[in-house]
Amino acid sequence: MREPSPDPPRIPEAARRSDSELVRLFVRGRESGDRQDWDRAVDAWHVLVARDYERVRGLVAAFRFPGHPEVRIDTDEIDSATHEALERCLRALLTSFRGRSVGELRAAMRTATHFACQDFCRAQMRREQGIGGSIDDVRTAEEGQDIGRFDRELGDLAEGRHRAKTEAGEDLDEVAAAIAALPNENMREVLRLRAEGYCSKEIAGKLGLSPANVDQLHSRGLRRLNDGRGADG
Amino acid sequence: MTAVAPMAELDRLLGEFADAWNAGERPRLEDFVDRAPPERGDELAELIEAFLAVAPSPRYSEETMAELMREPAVLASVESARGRSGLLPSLLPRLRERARLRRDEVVERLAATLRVPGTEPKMARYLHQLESGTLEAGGVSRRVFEALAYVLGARVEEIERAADVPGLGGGTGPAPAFMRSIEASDAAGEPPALAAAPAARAARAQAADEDWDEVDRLFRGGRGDPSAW
Repeated sequence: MREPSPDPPRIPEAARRSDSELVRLFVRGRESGDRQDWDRAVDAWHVLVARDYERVRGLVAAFRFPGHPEVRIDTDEIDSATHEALERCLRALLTSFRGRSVGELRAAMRTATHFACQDFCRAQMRREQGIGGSIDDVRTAEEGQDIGRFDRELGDLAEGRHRAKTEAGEDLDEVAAAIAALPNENMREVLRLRAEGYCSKEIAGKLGLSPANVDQLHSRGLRRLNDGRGADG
Repeated sequence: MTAVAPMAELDRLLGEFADAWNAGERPRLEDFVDRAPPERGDELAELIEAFLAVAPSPRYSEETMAELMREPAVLASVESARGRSGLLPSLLPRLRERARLRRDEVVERLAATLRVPGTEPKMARYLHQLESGTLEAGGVSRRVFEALAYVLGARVEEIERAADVPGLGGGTGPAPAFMRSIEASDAAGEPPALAAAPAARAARAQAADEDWDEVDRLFRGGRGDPSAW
């Protein structure tokens, strides 16, 4: 259980805006020379990163090292790795991000989180196992130099696959298109309604299904989207 | 137990996670994975990851949103975006935590490593400014970054790269030649817009110059300031 907040909540005006509006403010601020735009962009980022904190944390907790599923972030390190992932996200958004949509922002954050987790695992393994050499030997995934002794080639291949997969789904429109390509109408509806924030019981009521059926269609649909096999039945 | 039961259990757990997510309850993935049959935990994690990739932003209550906005990692990210110290407001506290060092312990070791004993109070102020994004990172000597890397058990390249990320408001900031006057402006509580021109600023900068010492050179003299070596 979380500790109750000691202070009354202070929610900025930006928190009443949609994710799309916030992304636009962030992008405008980054490209602007105007202090007011910068201030708005910082406020927008504060709300965006708070709204996405749990998403990034969840991605960190779900992380399994490509090709080595037994390598993951320890439960007591998830918050620390999340901090590192958010740092990597901000770096990407301030330096290399050229997108303008929520979908592009989320895709960039997923990629940054994935690389941050890989680096976190590598660094952690080096510290724990006392592998010889300096920690300087570990490179971040962005540098393109020496990857370190931990699975040099396999890691690169896996990164490439992940990047291709992420880029393929770089916009929510593409996700919507993938959902539309699913052959089962109920499956499509369940995924669509889930994405609109409905719970299992509400979806079950709308579609005349049982909640268990909704859960089953949801997980099957996600598997198909995840495998990129939406149209193959 | 039949082969179908564990699958149905995964479906149910995913559904429960999605419901809690959409209701803004901050469900923890690891708690759900713990409840899955042990041999299916990774599968559930993968399903939840796929859900998170397409999930909408949850409907957080105002109280939950306020909690999220106060998460240390969130605040560090915002200070980095707002400030003049690159990503150091996020990186340095994280490295300190990883090294299990308090800030005063870092300061003590930093002063020893940089061979400037007795300067701890001033160094503490500068370190605080770096961690709060109020010190121009472009003015910090590489020697400081090397010492920080040594004390915190990190890579100097990691620290330098973080320092070089431009914030939302300042790009790489002013050239070192102007840094002292701008710092003096900050110390006087003036808004940055007033920092550049008036004669009063030059006088204040001159006064600041008179107190310029080794620690100032290290933290404000510029990355390549040879006198810092």
